[in-house]
Amino acid sequence: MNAPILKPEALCQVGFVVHDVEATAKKYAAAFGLPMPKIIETPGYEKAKTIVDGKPSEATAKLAFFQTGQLVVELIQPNKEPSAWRNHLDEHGEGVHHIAFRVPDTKATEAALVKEGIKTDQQGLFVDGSGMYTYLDSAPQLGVVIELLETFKR
Amino acid sequence: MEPINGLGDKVLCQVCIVVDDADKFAKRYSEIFGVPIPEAHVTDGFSETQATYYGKPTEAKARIYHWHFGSVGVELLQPLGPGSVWQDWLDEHGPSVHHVAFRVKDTEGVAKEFARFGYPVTQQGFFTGRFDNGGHTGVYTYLDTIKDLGTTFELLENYDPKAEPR
Repeated sequence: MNAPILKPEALCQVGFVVHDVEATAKKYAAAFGLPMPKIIETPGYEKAKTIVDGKPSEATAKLAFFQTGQLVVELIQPNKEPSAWRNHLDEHGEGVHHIAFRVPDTKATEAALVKEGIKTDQQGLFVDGSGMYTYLDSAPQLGVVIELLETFKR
Repeated sequence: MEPINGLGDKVLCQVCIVVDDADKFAKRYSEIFGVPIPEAHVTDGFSETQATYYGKPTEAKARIYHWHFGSVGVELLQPLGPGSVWQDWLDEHGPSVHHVAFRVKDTEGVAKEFARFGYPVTQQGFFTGRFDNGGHTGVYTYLDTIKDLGTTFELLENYDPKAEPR
């Protein structure tokens, strides 16, 4: 058995793509008695440095988050630009897009995963620039897109 | 409308991925996450599980691998045979996340609460395996939440509070 490339206990999020983040967030809040979260809009390339399939992209999304124990539920409404989110929504409709793991070093994790045949599809900075996210083309091997979440050291 | 009652602290306890070949996927999970491959759990047919699919008895079984990723259960589930929400999902979407789960203490009561929101039961069954006294060890319930909430929600009730959570 190998040393883990991803630590199982670092699982921290399940992300959904939806057509209308406000409408879906309202349904979650109503059904589960959770406070309605603030909707966050991610910035374009200039700030988020979003890379889709290796190229700079103006893909953005509106996001809402609910805390449910170890897992955060993330609702994502992508704009029309091609992205991991938009492609999934167009192909499969609304549903779970990814599960996320916290990592200390995105580049090292990416390098280890490339050796396993798992590559990066999309990458960008957090809204406030405090960290970065990475979506991997892991679905054929793991049945789900894996997201890496790294919070930068200050 | 009052929120769904009976979900306790509203903690999601499981993520399940339906796959077409549980052994193949389990091997990759073992390699990427450095976890041992556990013994596969194959569920029983109707005589043991009393499973229903849209209200009718079903013989649908599944081959399952399960790990704990921190406090969250990660389940790989390969449907064996038709007549299940697992097989329906796999046929439509291919290998992908099928459900997330809440742990509950009163399945019947909570299922009624979901129904009040327009989310009826799609599939339900007892866990495979029995206590020494012959009693069932627990029950699972899938709810028709996909359209509004983006995925299927599952209720998991373990009848023995001391048993290791699934």
